[in-house]
Amino acid sequence: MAADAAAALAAGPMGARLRAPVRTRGARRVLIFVAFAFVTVFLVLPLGVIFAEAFSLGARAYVAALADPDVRAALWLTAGIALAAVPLNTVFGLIASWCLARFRFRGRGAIVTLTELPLSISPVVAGLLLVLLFGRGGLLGAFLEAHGIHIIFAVPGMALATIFVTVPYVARELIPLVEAQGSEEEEAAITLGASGWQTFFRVSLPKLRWGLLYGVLLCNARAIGEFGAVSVVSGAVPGQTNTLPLEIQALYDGYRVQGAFAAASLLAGLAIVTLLLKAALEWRHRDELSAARRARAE
Amino acid sequence: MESGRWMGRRGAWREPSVLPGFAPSLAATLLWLGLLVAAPLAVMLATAAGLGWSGFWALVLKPRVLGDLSVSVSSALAASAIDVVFGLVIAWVLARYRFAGRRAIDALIDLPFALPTAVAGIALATIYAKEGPIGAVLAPFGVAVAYTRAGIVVALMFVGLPFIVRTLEPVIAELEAEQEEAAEMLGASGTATFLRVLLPPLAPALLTGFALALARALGEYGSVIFIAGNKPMVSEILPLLIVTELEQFDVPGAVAIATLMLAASFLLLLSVHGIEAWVRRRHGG
Amino acid sequence: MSTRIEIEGLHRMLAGQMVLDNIDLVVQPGELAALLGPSGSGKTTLLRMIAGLDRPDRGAVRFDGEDVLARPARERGVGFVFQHYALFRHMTVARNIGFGLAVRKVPRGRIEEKVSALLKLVQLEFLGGRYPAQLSGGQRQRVALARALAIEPRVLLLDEPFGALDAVVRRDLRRWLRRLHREMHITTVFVTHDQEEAFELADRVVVMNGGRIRQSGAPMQLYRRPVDPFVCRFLGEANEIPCRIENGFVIADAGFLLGRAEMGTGGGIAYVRPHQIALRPNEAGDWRVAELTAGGAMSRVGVARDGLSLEASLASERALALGLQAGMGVEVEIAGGMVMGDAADAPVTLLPAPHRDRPLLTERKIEKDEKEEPSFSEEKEAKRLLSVIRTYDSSRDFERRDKNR
Repeated sequence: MAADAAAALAAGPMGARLRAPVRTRGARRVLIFVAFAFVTVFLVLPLGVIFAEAFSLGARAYVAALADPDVRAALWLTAGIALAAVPLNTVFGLIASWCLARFRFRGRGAIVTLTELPLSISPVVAGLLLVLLFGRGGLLGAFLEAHGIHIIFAVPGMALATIFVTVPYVARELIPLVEAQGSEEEEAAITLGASGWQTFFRVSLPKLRWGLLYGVLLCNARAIGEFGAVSVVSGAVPGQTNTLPLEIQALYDGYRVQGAFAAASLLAGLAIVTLLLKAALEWRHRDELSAARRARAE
Repeated sequence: MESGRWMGRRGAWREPSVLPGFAPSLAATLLWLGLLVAAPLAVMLATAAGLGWSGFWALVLKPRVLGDLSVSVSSALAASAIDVVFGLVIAWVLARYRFAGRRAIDALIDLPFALPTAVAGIALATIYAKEGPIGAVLAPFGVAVAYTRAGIVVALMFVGLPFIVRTLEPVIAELEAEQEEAAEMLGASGTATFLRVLLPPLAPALLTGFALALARALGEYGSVIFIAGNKPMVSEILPLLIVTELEQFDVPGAVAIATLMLAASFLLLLSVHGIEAWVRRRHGG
Repeated sequence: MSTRIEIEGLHRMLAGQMVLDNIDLVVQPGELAALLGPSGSGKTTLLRMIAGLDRPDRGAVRFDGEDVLARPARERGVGFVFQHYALFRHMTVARNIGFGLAVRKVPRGRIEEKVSALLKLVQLEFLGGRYPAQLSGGQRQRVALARALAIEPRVLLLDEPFGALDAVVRRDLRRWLRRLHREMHITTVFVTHDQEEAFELADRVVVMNGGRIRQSGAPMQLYRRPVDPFVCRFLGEANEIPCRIENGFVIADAGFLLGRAEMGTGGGIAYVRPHQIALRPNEAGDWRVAELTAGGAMSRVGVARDGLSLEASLASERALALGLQAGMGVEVEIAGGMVMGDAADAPVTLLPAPHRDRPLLTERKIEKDEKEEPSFSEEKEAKRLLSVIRTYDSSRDFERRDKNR
């Protein structure tokens, strides 16, 4: 309607102003097209290929590939490792956000950086760190060997590697969220007579629940999908020390491509569920989460 | 909450708060980070230091290391640069326009975060192989992507994209549309509006996004190894070399390369913080 | 039931800055006190210290003589209403109000009873099931108040209680809170930067600036007898007229008689509020109307004479009745004010100069409601003054004569 009014006045110098939206509209169409094209080629196509390849030999072959005992063992191992890593780092994230976002103290910035450090370390280097600590010839290698404890090339090492790479996920979601929400509600709870625990469980935790779920979701996706760090410390024994991503590599390198994609389709399905849940969270609790995102962007 | 602690707090190292639990939560945080992150890093740095100055460089200045380093760095730079262009377009579209399918794009952008790297790796390798849906299209033109350096770039573009989009999106959303309109009213052309009005405020976010994508690309392993040819000095990335050296029980060689990579990602992290600090100083808040 | 709050020698440094500087304050049982000051004056810090949300470096806070500094905030029995209410966003209104009881393990039935009584008190009977995000600002404010009252606090503390509300809601809530306080009689301290709010609500206003208490007293006392220029300016606009006191007369440096003073001698500045200036149209008057702004109930009139301009305010009805117009001549009568500066150690009350026709008319009105003013024989004084005034005020070139003397 404003455009109509402008059109009525457009006889004179306003003409220049009128051309602008037309030009912008053209640019808009081109930009949206580019975005769609890029997302289709780079993101949709890989997803499609995974399922197409997984079912390339038919549904029966697909089921058979998943019924493979090594694949099932890998599935359980992956779930087990995620079940160790995610809760531990969720608890850590909650504690770290309480400490780092509710209090101001010297050295706080350094600790926040340390929290996020595993994100910028190559997963392969993360694996190497564990080898240096626990491997034969490593710092604790002799001690572990003397006591018959196997960490490297065994499940404990893989769990440790996963825990290492997932340290930041919950914490870095929660810290900016807690900062954005402030501590007034907690102070109110205290003046109303609540103890520290009561304040945490009745006020802080419910307030954070969506951000927490968001962080847990991302943490879980990484824990299940971790490849580089785990592969360095894994014994790579099918059926014993292969997580699902490692099993996929073993199948793929063994030219059992359909089997690899069948296993991959499970992880891809999980990724899609993760994205849907994440999108749902973002849309339903946009205000809360975007406040945190803004705080982080600053 | 003993009251004595509050007395004579002049040289305090923290601002007081009525909320309890500072000491235990700090202790737990430091313990977890110390055991899991700081201690292993310290051990590696000590190991690297143990190599000695000349020993370290002898391990790093080997032709294969340098060749792989150049493969890693050039592919990561190329991938991040391409991502910046397309990431800017996508972020712009997401932040500024409302259209059918917007939510789908918004959700899909994070796919590289959610999809395990190995899964992405085999999918990309299949797509760009000679018989794959895109590889088959490119093959008649003599363009090979899979098992070449181009394949590495494609894989790194995949993992880096969300960093750039998610860094830019909130910044674009906060740019006032009035600025563009004002520029148009003042007679600026579309290009001039873009270059002089829109780009400058986005520059810090573009740099930050670029640095984040680059850091991720330099360390990326899972999605690359399947599509790269893994030919030393031609299509082998540095992280794969670490794995190879470890498999040959050449721990010092692996440590030297890892230290180099760690230094690189640390520098990138510092530059991101530097950019953020600079933006804060300049624009306040 | 009401508690007496005593604050003694409270000090607080933060980041090398004195946030609170030797604060002494007593709030009487059942009193409604306002901490008034500009932002950064330390008023909120002081309130938080009473609540236990912040700690002093030294000093004492006592409730009925008992030192409460050793007690953590949760045991102080303080009802605190936060500036932005700090309602628990994930709890219903009823659960918000019942929170303080729930954490004390009060039986559920008791809580429900109490919550419904409180909902009634704050006139939100039907909103118990709503979430804070579904309430208006004024409703949230009342929920926050009900939540604070639920724990039967010894003292009620409110941080900028009306800061986030629009003007109409603010006015209504203010009156409602005043009534509520009269009924419940809880010792209450609230923080505000709005002097109007402080004056309308409080029994006692404590003006703070730079971490210190500048003045504390009944609203009218502060308004009429500010102890320093800061308080004077902060409590409302004032014309500031350079002047000096001589022989009991206050003479503007611009060269005319402002009024009388009972003590002091030497230079200073007279602070005269716009409403303390009375105008009378008189073409032969020394002053001209320079500017006339009619705005609602009150009109503002700028008047000027050589070298000086003043701002007066009067009821718009009155301005109409006087037929004030820009450019017309007027007589200016200063009905009151304060003189501060070198002339005396303490601020000196500026008394009106008796007018030729209506001697001391305005002053008599003032005398009635201010007992601390020394009484004197009006008539005798008026006669004495009148004779002096004639010599001073009838002459336009006062200045020259002053120099010659």
